[in-house]
Amino acid sequence: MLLLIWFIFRMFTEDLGTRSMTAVFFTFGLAAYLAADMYWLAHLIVKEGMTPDFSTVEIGIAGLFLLWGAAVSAYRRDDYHSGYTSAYAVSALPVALTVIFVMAITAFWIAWTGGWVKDIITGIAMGYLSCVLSNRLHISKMFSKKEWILAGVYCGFLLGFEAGTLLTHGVSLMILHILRYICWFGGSLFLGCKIRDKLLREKNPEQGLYLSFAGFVWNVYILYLSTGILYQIANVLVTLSIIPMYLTVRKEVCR
Amino acid sequence: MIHSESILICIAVPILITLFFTKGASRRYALFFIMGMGLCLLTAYISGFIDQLCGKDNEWTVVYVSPVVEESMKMLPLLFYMILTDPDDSNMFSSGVALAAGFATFENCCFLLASETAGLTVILVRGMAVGVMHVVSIMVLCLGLILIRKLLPVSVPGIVGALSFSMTFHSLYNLLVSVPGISTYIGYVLPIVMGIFVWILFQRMVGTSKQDVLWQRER
Repeated sequence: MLLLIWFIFRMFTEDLGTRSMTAVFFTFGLAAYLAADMYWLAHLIVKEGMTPDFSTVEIGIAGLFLLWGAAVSAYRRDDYHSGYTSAYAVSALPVALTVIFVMAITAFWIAWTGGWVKDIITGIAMGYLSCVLSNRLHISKMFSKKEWILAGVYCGFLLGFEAGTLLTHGVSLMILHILRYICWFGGSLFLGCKIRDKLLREKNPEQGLYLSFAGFVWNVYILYLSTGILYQIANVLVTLSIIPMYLTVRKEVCR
Repeated sequence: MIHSESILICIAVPILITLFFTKGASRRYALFFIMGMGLCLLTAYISGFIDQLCGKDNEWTVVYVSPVVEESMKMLPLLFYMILTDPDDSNMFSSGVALAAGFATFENCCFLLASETAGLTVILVRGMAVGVMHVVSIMVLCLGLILIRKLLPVSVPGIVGALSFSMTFHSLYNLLVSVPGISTYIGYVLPIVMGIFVWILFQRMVGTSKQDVLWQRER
C-alpha cells in the first residue's frame, strides 16, 4: 500500500501534467488498486477478521485490470514508427490462445475456490488485460516465432499440471504441485530477466513497458493459484512487479 | 409519517417549474439536480428489493449492495447524456456535479427522516461528508468518461474500470461509517481528502494552456 501511495503521489505531482492518456489510466489503476487494498484492510479491522463475500475488493481489482488494459491500449495508438502497421491491429492467434489460457485458469480458480461470480468477473478483466498485452507483444515483434511456439507449449504444460492437481492425489499430486510451481516461478524469473534486459541493456522502453505489465499479470496468476508461503512470495512478486511498470510508464510516456 | 416520496415532490416540483424560466447551464443544472434526487429514490427501491431477495440485514445492504447500485445508477444518465448529446467536457462535469448534489441532498433528507434525534453536529458532518463523497465519486467517473470517449477502442473496459473505482471508493466510505468509533471519523475525513486531490487534479488537467491535449475535442 505504501508503494502504491508513493507511486500515485509521484505520478500525480509530476506526470499527469504531461497529458498522457497512458499515464492517466495507469494512475487511475494504481488508485483503484490502493482503494481495493484499503477496503480489504478496513474490512478486516472493522468487521474483526471476517473476510468479505464477493465484494468491492473484486470489483476494485477488476477495475484495475480494465484500467491498465486501457492504459496499454492507449499507448502509442497513433504511432506508426514502431514497426507495426497500426496500434489497432489484432493478432488473432496469440489473442485466441490467450483467451483459451485465461478461460482455463479461471476454470481452475472456480474449481479450487468454489466462487463462481467473483472468479468469472476477475477472469474476464484479467483476460482483457492479458489479450491486450499478448497482442501488443506480438505486433511489436517482441519474441521470435520460435519463442512464441515455446511459450505456447510451456503454457500448455502448465495447464496440464494444473488440471492434474485436480484429478490426482498422494505422491502424484505432490509431484504435480512441485512441477507447476517450478513452471510458474520459472516464468516469473524469465520475464524478470527479459524486463531487466529491455530496460537496462537494450534500452527498449516500449517493449519494456509491455513486458513489465505482462510480468505483473503473470505474478497475479501465481498469486491466485498459490497457498501458504508461496502465496506470500507471490504477493511480494506482485508488489515488486509494479516498480518496473511505474518506471517504464514514467520514462517512455512522460518524456 | 412523512414519506420520502413526499419530500421528493416538495423539493423537486419548485425546481421543475424553474425549468420553464431558465435556459442553458442553469436549466441543465436544475434538470440534473432533480434527476439526482429521483435516482436516489430509485436506488433505495432497488437496494431494498435486493435486501428482501437476499434476506440479509440493512447493514449488509448498505455496505455491500448500495455502493454498487448507486454508482451504476449515477453513471447511467451521464453515459446517456454523453452518448446522445456529445457535450463539452465542462458541461459533463457540471452536469455530473448537479447529479451528485441532487443525490446527496435527497439522501440527507432520508437520513433526517430516519434519525429524527440526530444533533446538529452529526447532521453537519454527515451532510458534508455525504455531499463531498458523492461529488468526488461522480467527478472521478466524469473524468474517466471524458478521457475514455476520446479512445473508442477502450471505451467499454475503460468505462467499467472508472465505474469500478467509484464503487470501491463509495464502498470504502460506507464500510468505514457503518461501525461507530474511530473508523467513522476516518470515513468522514476520507471524502474530504479525496475531494482535495480531485480538485487539484481537475485544476492541473484543465490548466490554462491551449495545447492541453486532453481537452481538445477530436472531430
